[in-house]
Amino acid sequence: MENFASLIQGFSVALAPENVFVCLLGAVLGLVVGAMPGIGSLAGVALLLPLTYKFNPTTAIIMLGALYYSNMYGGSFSAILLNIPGDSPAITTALDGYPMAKHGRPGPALVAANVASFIGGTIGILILTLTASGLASLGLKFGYAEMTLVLLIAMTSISWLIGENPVKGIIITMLGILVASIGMDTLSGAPRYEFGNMYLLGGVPFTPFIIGCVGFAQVIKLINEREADEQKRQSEERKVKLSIRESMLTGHDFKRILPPVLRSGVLGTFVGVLPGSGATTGSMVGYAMQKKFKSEQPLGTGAIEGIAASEAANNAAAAGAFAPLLALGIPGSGTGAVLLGGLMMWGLNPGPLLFDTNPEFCWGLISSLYVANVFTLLVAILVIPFLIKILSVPVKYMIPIIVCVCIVGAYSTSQSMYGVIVMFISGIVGYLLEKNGFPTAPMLLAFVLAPMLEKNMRKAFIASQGSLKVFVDSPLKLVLLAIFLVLVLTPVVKAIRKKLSAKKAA
Amino acid sequence: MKKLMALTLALLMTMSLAACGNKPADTPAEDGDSAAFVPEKNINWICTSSAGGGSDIFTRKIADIMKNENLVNGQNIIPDNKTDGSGEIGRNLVATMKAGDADYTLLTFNSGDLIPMVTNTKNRAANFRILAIMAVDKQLLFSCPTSDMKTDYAKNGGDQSDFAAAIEAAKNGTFVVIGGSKGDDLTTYKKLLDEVGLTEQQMGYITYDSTGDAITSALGGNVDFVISKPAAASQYVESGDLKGVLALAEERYVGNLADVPTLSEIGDYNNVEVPVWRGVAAPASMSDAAVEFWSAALDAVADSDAWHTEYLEKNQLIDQHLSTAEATTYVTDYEAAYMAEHDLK
Amino acid sequence: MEKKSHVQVVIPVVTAIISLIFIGTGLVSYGFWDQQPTPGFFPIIIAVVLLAASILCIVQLLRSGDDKPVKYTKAELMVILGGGAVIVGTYLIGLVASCLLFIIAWLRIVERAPWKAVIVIEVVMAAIILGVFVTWLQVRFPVGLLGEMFL
Repeated sequence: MENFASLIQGFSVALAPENVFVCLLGAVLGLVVGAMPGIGSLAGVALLLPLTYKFNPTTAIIMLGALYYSNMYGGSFSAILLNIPGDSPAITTALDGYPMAKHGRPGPALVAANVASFIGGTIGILILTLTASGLASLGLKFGYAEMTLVLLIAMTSISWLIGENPVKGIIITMLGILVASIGMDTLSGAPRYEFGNMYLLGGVPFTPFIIGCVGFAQVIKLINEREADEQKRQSEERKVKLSIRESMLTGHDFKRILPPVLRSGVLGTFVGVLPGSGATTGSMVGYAMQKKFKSEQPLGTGAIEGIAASEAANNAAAAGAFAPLLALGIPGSGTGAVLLGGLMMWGLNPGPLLFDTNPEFCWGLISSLYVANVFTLLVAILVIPFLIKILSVPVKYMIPIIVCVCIVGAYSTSQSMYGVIVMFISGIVGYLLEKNGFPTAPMLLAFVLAPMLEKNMRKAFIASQGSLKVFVDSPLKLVLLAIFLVLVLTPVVKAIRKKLSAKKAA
Repeated sequence: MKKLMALTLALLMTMSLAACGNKPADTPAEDGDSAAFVPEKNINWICTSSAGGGSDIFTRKIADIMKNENLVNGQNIIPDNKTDGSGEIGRNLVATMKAGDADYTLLTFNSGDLIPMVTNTKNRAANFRILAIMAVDKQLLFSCPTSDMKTDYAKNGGDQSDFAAAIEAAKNGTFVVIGGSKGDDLTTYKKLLDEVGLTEQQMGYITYDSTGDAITSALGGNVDFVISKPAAASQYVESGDLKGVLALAEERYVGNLADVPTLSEIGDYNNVEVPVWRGVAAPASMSDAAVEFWSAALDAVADSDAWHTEYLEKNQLIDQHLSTAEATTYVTDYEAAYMAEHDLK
Repeated sequence: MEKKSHVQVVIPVVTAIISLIFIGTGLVSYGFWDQQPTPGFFPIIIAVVLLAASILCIVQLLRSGDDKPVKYTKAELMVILGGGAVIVGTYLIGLVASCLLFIIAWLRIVERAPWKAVIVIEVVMAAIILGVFVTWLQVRFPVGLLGEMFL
């Protein structure tokens, strides 16, 4: 394999002492930044990019690669411990991670997230190594109609989160989509639903919205748990398991996470390769798929399988997204775009020629992903026992702390008070909704996916002049459509059957 | 549109005159000014387009030259791609920046930024200090004939490397689709459509967030042709992935784009050219001393060899440089003309 | 003010109004279909679905008599007011100062926490905000009116 020979050569670059050092540094910094709510991988890489200007390009990209990677790990920390997903890919991690931590197993939840990230990431990098440029052109095979269908499939993951009242679920999903449609309509280049407001023109910024809906809304409710928490503390002097050993996964846990991790790893890589989809779509598709397989506990109640499926998929997607970036100069995500900017800063021309003109750079980067992955896992597992201590802080003290973290995080991601105000309002709205029995998770997923869906759908319609035929005129599209219909119709059919049999019985 | 063209022509003439004589007059007042400005920390350069596109390359090249020629006191220039709200958020941020930070903030500003800004928002050129106009850019149509066939035109056997054939096909009812970025690419598309006498239902346009996205979709075969400036497409032309199809210019380009015909060569049409000026702006609250400093630094960039060989020639832009005073007048007139033409207030 | 209650039906009524606003503005300003989908197309479809679901929800709630009052507690309101106070404080004395002050105020007044705990939490939070966000990540937090007078 020619690719493997190049990879070995890449390792000799990545394992040079100074590169190992920056890789480790990147892993630690990324973990810290990722764990801060509001500073996701995009903001993290952007903020730390200037630090790397002093290095040569290969060293610099190795550091950024490690940073990007460990950011993904770090994002799951605040999601699991505080129920504040620092970044959009961690939304699905919080769904099961936070309940699991609350049930007294924060350590295994964190370790499961990181082990899943590691394995998922490794699968992604392996596929990247084997296929590098081929993978990127596979992504190009997907036209708008295909992307529309893929996004529809991803959207079905929302239906699993809706809860017992489907009408409320639909309301909340549609609300999320409408909020997302505020701002500039990029296809016509005209403002939409901005109601004459300069700030709304830029749309509702995602990270503050999510910090508000999940984090701030949660802290408002948390106050009611003060007394219960206090009593619990006095009666049993609750001990959170702090040592590394007790945070480790049991053999049984490991058996539970392995199948979802493998499935999500492969799937996530391919989702990451698709232009403009990125890690968020990856983790959602991974999580949706896990719904179709058996989990020991139902997803959403603290099932370790759910954590594994979403974390493995998002790290695999992060690796997959490097393929179009390196082979074609196409950034698959916002973070990719920042990295692309970095490449140009160092005088490299990302594009179809990069693999030919700068092989030591490309392969150095790919092999450094392996190294970064190992380092990050080690660093992450070492810090977990300290992180869990956060949970031993009494709830009543956590309230003002989390309020401040939400405000500081919202400001940092948007660099303006507008972000803080969006966070505050969406926090109150999220709180009111949840009080009235509306689950907020579907709103967040819809908010992320709907704009992509709309763009692709409208482009498909422009290219086909408004004909619906464009969604059924190739075998690939038919397969995707079939998957979508099966996903949508199974619950409906099941429900009808149940009703019928219930009637018969009666 | 006529007025804009006239203005652009005036710009060309001013520039060719300016090229000979204005340099000494523009160097900053030396010791007389007690509060001369020298950067003491990193400079933030806001570019409201995505990484990899024409504006981004322009920004990074100038930053690069400023650093290499030691024009910024050894400080780093950090390009910041602020694309929220199609760039309006970034422009608003610069326009409303407070004094102090303002001395360390620059903004890439071209006609493709100004037009949507005055159309969609209340923000105006007067809210900025226009520091310089550095060059004038033009566009071409490219295609990727080796891509998957996903469009109606390609599926019906249309030749994506022949625009004349595409016009014919569009007239006979086969839908042809062009991709490009927002702003000036869209203006050029409309002008092209008028000239060849087609409607949007015969030859459609898909707007992308950035030129990079538009090129991606051409490589994937989702559009038949893509509008781009030479800079953003050059990598792909070199690698053979993209092919120049039509020069949207009064005359042909040179170098590796020399064999690309203009519109008048492929049929009985007039050439279509929408020149795009590329400039640099700053917050209105930037201090006069800082304006003087940046103005001088940009003049030095425009005079450097690197600017000519590595940017203008490589990317085939027209060498037109206006210093602060002329650039301000020019942009103000350009905006007034555009607003008058489109009844904007 | 001790216990406010209201009926669940308020939420679907509000979402129904929101959907009407989106449908109305959409049809008037952005259009639905013009040979191909226009900017209003997608939001209008979504808003119509939202309207239908909201009406269904209202009917459901009224019919089933399931419309139990939702309890809001004073403590919850306190958190919201606290967050609001920090935002208002930001415009006056800056973001970092109001956050740190808020923590002290909350812990002492609401929770009556011992000074020792207050100081530990205060120092840790100051270290994170100033060390990580301000120094390292170079986030420039607003300094408020007070800060601007001095700077």
